[in-house]
Amino acid sequence: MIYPKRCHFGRRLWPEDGPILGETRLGKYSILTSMKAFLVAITALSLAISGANARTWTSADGAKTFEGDLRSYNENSGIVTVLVNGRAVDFPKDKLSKEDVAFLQESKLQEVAASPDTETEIGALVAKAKLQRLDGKRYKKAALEKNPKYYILYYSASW
Amino acid sequence: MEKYNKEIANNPNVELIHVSQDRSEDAAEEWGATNQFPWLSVLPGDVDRSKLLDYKTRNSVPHYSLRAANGDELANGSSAVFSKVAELVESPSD
Repeated sequence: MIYPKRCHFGRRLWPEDGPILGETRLGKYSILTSMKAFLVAITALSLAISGANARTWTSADGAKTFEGDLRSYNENSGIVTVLVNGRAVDFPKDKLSKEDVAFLQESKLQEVAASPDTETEIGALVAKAKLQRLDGKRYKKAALEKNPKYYILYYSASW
Repeated sequence: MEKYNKEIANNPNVELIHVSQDRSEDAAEEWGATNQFPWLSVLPGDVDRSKLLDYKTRNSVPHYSLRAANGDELANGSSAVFSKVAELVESPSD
């Protein structure tokens, strides 16, 4: 008797679904399921994106775009964090187009150029912080344009 | 905001960093836009990563903390902070 096996989504697969390579079934069902899951994820990501001032990002192959606001870029790890509809989404920079990677490098250079004295404790934290300034009704990325001796840290909320 | 515009905005020796304690980016942005905040801000999604909360010495808001660049607290509370700033730095409007 032939028993069904399970694909990585936990669904039962029957031998007629397709060939097996080792423990991996490359049947029609599993491929379609994987594609659907991928498309659903991309669609959900696209639908979740908003923000009039957000950057339009393009995938490395140029096939997909989405919008989001750059939050951070770690040169060492290559991880990019983009704010999409209020949520931080992390992904490797390799997923992005050459233009987007160039933008990341430029952003990093601008941050360094605008940094205050990073040997001071507060200066170092402010240099690393994502600073923004209101531009009309939206916040936009901004840089510290001084090298101050003193900082007023103002903690407040609308509530 | 008037104090910021008069005493801080154009003073090269001191800067005000607003560390938002709002629960969402939208709330912070709406509040900022309504009041046309002129200062630099760290919005809610970036506050934890900034580690600037480590310098918050009171649990209430609003809270002002004047720090030397090395992190030492020189004053806290609105009136004390702005009085100390006036002592330490020469305002460009003077």
